[in-house]
Amino acid sequence: MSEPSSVPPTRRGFLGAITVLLGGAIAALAAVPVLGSILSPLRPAPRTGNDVPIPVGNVSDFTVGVPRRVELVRSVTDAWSRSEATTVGAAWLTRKADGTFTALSTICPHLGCGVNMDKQRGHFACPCHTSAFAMDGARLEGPAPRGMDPLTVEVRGQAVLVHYRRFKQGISEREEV
Amino acid sequence: MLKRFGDWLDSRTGHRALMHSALFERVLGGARWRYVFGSALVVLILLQAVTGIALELYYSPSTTDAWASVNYIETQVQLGSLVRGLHHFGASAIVILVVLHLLQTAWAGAFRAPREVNWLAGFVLMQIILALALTGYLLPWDQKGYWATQVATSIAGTLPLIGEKLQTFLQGGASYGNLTLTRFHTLHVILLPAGLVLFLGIHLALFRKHGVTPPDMPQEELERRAEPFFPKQLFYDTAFAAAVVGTLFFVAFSQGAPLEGPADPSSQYLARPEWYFLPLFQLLKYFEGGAELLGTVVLPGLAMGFMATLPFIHAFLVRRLPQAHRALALVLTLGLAGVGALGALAVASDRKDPAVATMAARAHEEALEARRLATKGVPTAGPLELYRNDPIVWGARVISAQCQSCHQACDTPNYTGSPCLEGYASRAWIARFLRNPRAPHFFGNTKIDEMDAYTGPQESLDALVEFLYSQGERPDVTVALAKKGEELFDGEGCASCHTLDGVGSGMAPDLKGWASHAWTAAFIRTPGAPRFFGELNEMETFDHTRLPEDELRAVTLWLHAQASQPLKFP
Ligand code: FES
Repeated sequence: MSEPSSVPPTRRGFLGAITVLLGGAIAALAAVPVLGSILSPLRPAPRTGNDVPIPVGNVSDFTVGVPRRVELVRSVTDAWSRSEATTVGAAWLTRKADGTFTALSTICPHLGCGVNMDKQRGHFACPCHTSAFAMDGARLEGPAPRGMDPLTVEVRGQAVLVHYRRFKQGISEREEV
Repeated sequence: MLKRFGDWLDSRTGHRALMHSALFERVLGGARWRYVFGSALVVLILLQAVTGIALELYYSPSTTDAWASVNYIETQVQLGSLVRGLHHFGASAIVILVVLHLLQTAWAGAFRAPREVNWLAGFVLMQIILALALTGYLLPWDQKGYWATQVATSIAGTLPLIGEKLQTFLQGGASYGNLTLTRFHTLHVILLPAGLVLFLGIHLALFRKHGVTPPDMPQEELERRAEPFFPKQLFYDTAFAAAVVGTLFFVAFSQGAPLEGPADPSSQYLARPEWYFLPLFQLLKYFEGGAELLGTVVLPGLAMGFMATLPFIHAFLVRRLPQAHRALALVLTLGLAGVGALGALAVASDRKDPAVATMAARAHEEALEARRLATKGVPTAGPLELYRNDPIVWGARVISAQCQSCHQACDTPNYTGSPCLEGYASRAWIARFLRNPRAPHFFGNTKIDEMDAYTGPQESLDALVEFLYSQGERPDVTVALAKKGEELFDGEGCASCHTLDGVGSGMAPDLKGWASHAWTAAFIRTPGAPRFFGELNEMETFDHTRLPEDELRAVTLWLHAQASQPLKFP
């Protein structure tokens, strides 16, 4: 690039270099806070009190051996807003003869659709890609890489409480998110 | 390899010629520092765009979430407060540079032929920038943005014929709400930026076509001194832009963008616009009643009209007056100086007014309080619920709304109210009261004058104080001392009027559980009961209709908490 100019070539190179430097400084100054803020959610999230068990009803609300879908409602802090009662998920609860419970998260381990109960066939069925699961959550057929995710149930006197957790989808191991 | 890729790209795009023509465009008359404002504006506009996008990732335009999300940006988002500071002060910097750019081009006579259309494009850009400043201001939905923008939309409402419709249209309804925010948000992030890009494109294209407006010199001289844009002018431009951006960073980092308390339509807030709208605000003070339109629309309209039509005014004048562009630049400069003077007057009159300082301090305290409460998350019902959810904060609000017409603030000069309440039932309060119950901050302004001042020794006073203090269910009571005080209660003659049985004699308030939650609540509901002041009572009765149960609870909690607060009177 040459063009007649009143500025001698060495000075031109010098001015050019400083210009590039200053321009780079402007871009860098802008990039740091902008990228920093955009990437903010990637920082490790602080542990919230989200593992408090969620009450879902009384023992007598459940019939032995019949799975029932319960909604899991608890207080949630989502970014800036706090709500006292938000539905965070659902679970299929089954009362066993010995008074204990099993709970299966309704989130399909394949890609996260909500798993239904197929009453006629007597098993759980995912409406999205036709994965099917036995009553104990074991995988029967379809693309799901593992069985349904069990949740811990606690019985305190008459009250039934569920410890809600979410797991990564699409992998055969059960890994909490 | 790189060269081959470059060749390939160039044959498809012709980018080399483009770069070349950009870098080596001839600057007639030579590079100058005074040409730097326009390119610095472009840099700042780009900076607003990128910081705006970053903010947009976290901002939520609804009345319940806007303030909370901005507060979240300020406190939780990594470097969020810096980004917002840059965006906030960047707006101010743009306005300053627009004025400098305007003055520079006006004195260069850039409105003359053949640059008339570009002058107009610049004028439109200025309007868009002011509109961006105005709409952006409301988005945090804090007290300042809310009230300052109310003034702007109300001005739109005073326009003849279309005013009312226009205001409703802008607000998205009869009053401020979600639709106001969504509209202003759409204007601020979509429509106005689109307009800005369009007119900036026109402005730059026309600038490329005509080049800088050269100094008044013979053509040969201009040609002789002409330089390519690179390296000198580009260096000037970049150096100045770097200085501006650097300063902006410093200010944003050290000051941070302000965030007032959440917009509260029920509050009295001192509405002041951002500094660049202060001249307009000041102008409104001079026009009352029917003449108001003069200040809101006619004068600003004339000024803007003058600026827009400058090329044509010049074309008209220049036939008689060859140096007309100088005169017009002078008029424009004087006009801008007048605008600046109006702004300075507005600042000066606020500085002189102590009420302004008090209100500003109050607003600042409220902002801190709201932001402190928001650390636990903002209720989904909106940030105003923050106050209601904190009984002490809400109690203070109810007190100031319901009680302070009689129970004035303790630091009111020449106190003439009922007993003041700050520090109520603290040890210091009780001690001061016992020593001088007829002081103006206690019963001095009521008809109660039967109570005698306690004149016993200090140790006995301390014991009595501790005993009375212990009635209020306090965690920090010295039991032995309170016991001693209980014995003195009979001995020192308190018991001749006051009972301790929870029933009362009608002569003086019963002191069992005095200043406890239950006592205070019962007292507020029935101050004239025999258990309390009986016949002597002057306080109004606050029943369920005047003070609903939850408000009573808040007031009681607030009063109970006063025992650990310092006294606020000498
Ligand atoms: S999400 Fe359930 S089968 Fe794919």
